[in-house]
Amino acid sequence: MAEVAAVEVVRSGGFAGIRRTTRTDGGTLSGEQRAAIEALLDGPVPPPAPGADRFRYGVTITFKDGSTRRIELAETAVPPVLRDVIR
Amino acid sequence: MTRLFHACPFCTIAPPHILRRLVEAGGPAEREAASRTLDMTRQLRTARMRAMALGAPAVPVEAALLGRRVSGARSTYDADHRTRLPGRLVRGEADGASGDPAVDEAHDYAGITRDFLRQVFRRRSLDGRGMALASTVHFDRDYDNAFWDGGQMVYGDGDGQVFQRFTLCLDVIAHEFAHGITQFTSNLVYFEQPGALNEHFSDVIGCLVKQWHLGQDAKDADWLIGAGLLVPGINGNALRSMSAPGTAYDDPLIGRDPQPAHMRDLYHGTEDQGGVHINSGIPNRVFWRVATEFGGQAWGTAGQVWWSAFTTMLNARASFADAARATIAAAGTIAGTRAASVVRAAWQEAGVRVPAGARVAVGSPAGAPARPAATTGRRAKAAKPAGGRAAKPAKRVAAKVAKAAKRTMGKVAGPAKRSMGKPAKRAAGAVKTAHLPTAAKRGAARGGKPAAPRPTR
Repeated sequence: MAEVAAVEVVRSGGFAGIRRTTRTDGGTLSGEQRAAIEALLDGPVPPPAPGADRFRYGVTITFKDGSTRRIELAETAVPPVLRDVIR
Repeated sequence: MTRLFHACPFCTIAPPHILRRLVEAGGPAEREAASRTLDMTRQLRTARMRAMALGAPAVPVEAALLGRRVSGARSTYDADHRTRLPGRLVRGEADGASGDPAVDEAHDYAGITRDFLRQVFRRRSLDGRGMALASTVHFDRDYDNAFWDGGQMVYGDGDGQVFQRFTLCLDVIAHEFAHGITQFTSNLVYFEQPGALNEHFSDVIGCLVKQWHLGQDAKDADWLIGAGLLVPGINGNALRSMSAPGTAYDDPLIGRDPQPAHMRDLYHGTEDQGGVHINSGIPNRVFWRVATEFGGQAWGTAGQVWWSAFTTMLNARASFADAARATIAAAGTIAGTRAASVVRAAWQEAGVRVPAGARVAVGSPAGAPARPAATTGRRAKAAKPAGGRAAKPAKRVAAKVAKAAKRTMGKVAGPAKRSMGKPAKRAAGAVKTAHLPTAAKRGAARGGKPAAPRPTR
């Protein structure tokens, strides 16, 4: 897998339903965080959150070769190590 | 941070102590209402003290009281800014104020919501069987959200830049509470239109509890969800407006309220579970339209119609059109043909078409009430023509009740009179049960489907 250039996160939902976009430069990611991102991309589709009013995350990962991958995540499916990136 | 606009949002909910003072200024009847609706805690404390004076151990008495008498006993927890739930117990049903505003708001407003449901809709807690109510505050750090996790209510403190603490508003707490009710009744799937209906029902209950607590008529209410939640300086009054979806806020920091009020503007994207907090604007405005057209208190006829439709007639995958059919049928059953026409017109105004006489024979002599989804396990086939056998008497009673409700609503004014309102209560109770088919009564009494298992985290 090519090196991560950037992680863009669109947060939606929550009680307020307000959309928010955040962007993290790939260079600031730790090795652990890069590994967690790879695991998310290779793993099965994460389960939806139970209940209501949780956040949803649309995560777009741009690689240095210009390719992109996109995943949808429930708040409950965010690995603890990525909580500063996917928020 | 600089702000381009300056708004003055404030929470319009009267804190319990203010209401208490208002009510105490009234007559003996008002005082009775105050003690009943505002201070269940005091009853328990008195019982405990009496028991202790008699030399009896306090705890068993309290436990017995909690177990037998308090339906929906509250436990309020502190997550200490972490994400493990439920966290540390800080206030039980019988405990006095903790001094922590978030804890006390979550606790007190859950109590008001519980009382509202019991008095107005004869509902015992979330599951209809008096299930205990758990709330957790101070969830995570700078957490801009409140949610229902499938088993309890959870509140963040807000980041202080955009949001204040989510326990500030009674309607937010009632909204989360209502997600629990939906889970135990229609169990609307949290995606696209059924998800938007799930959100809509929570906003309806949020508004109804707030208006009931303030003793407001539909025409006097602000119909806002989360008024005062945005920090001063953010250009917005609230997070949603039921009377004018799409107008609650417009600020460079958080963007513009995206809610549509009409089907032509329905959001079709994948964000927010297919727009559950966006498209709820459409049914929200329908409810506002119906409540203001009916007049009087929104928790009266309009509330009864929505309660009946959403807790007994919808299946988990209901669309807006299904909700329209169910509410039109419920209006016909509860308040008569003219009420059904008002509901139909409101849905049509929002672009939700319900062909007259298609599946709902509202107003026709053959019109019969729908069977609850909870009982049949099928999609709500609202008011399937059933031979017109029961039509005449049902219509007569409906007219009678509509008249009684009108009479009551005209009289009842302030919060004291409202919570006092024995006639109002009686009328509401009559509306709730008198015209529901026996199966619906059974379904309502049982509280619909069994609980979904508590999720593991």
